[in-house]
Amino acid sequence: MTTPMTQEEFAHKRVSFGGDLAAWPDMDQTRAKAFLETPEGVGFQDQENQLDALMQHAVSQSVPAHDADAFLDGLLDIPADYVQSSAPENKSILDFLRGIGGWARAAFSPVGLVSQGVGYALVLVAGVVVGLQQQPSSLAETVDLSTSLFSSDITLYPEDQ
Amino acid sequence: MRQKIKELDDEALVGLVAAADRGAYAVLVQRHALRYRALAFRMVGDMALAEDLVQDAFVKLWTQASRFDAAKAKFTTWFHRIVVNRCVDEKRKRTVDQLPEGFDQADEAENAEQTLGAEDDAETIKRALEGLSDRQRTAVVLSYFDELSNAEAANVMKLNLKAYESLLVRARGKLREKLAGDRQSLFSALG
Repeated sequence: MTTPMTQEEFAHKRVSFGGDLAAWPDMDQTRAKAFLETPEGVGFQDQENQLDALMQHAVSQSVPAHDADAFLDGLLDIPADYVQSSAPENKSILDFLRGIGGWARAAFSPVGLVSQGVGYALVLVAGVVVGLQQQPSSLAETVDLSTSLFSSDITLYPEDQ
Repeated sequence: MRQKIKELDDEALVGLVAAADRGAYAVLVQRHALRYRALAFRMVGDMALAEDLVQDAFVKLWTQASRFDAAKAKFTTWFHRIVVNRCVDEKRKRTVDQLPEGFDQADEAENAEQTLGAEDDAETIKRALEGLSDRQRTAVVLSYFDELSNAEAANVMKLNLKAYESLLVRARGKLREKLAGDRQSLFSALG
């Protein structure tokens, strides 16, 4: 026993399979035929057929005549008037890895290593020179931060008190 | 060589257009331009505007052909999308622009006598289509006027097949209502 087809379901099937019931799946055909024997089905099918006929007629009416040659000529002139944009950059992860590889090869080449060594040496010398020029004014100004870490009166866990 | 270009499929031609091949571009224009002009006309109802919109779409084809990905869509699907989106955008823009002046829309029943005479079926459908939402109108134009399959039209509108068919069912329902309303107005005008 199959459930009767509703108008809504019929409308959906009609859009999916078309107005010709012969093109519908067998199961749906049987149910659709039963629906079309009801007064509701007859009325609905009549409205649908009228809409199809009207649409068919409207489609057959050609688009108003307009100068096709002038239109096509205008389109063919476009390449002369517009510059093409370059292809979008579509960088993949492989391109990214290739970039890192290139950087690593440059960094660890003999020239790269020597340059890095010279750079480190210059920074070291500059640090020493700056350090020698800044003597502390008195020993009292030096602060040992580590003393507070080992003081006995520091309150680390107030909730325990 | 020219002959060979004419034998290439759309997707291969777009590849050549991306490499600035004017011959390939010309073949695409000859092959599709009038069809898309008709589609745009059915969407916006004004031939001069339809031609401008299709021209915009072909400018996009020439300048941005490299963005086309044949693995994702057929050329016609991609280009349909460009034309349809352009038409919908323009129609929305014009509706907003016109609202302040045209907001006092006339009662259709009062105009029934005027519409009684010479109005043909195409005009009736055109008016009924105007009452649909942009998406519903687009679906009707793609399926019935441009004769795309449901699957192709769904693809153009970036919908799944089921959602597209539901949209079309709603559009047909609204058209039926509208046309029934017109007939009612006609009968009451006749007395």
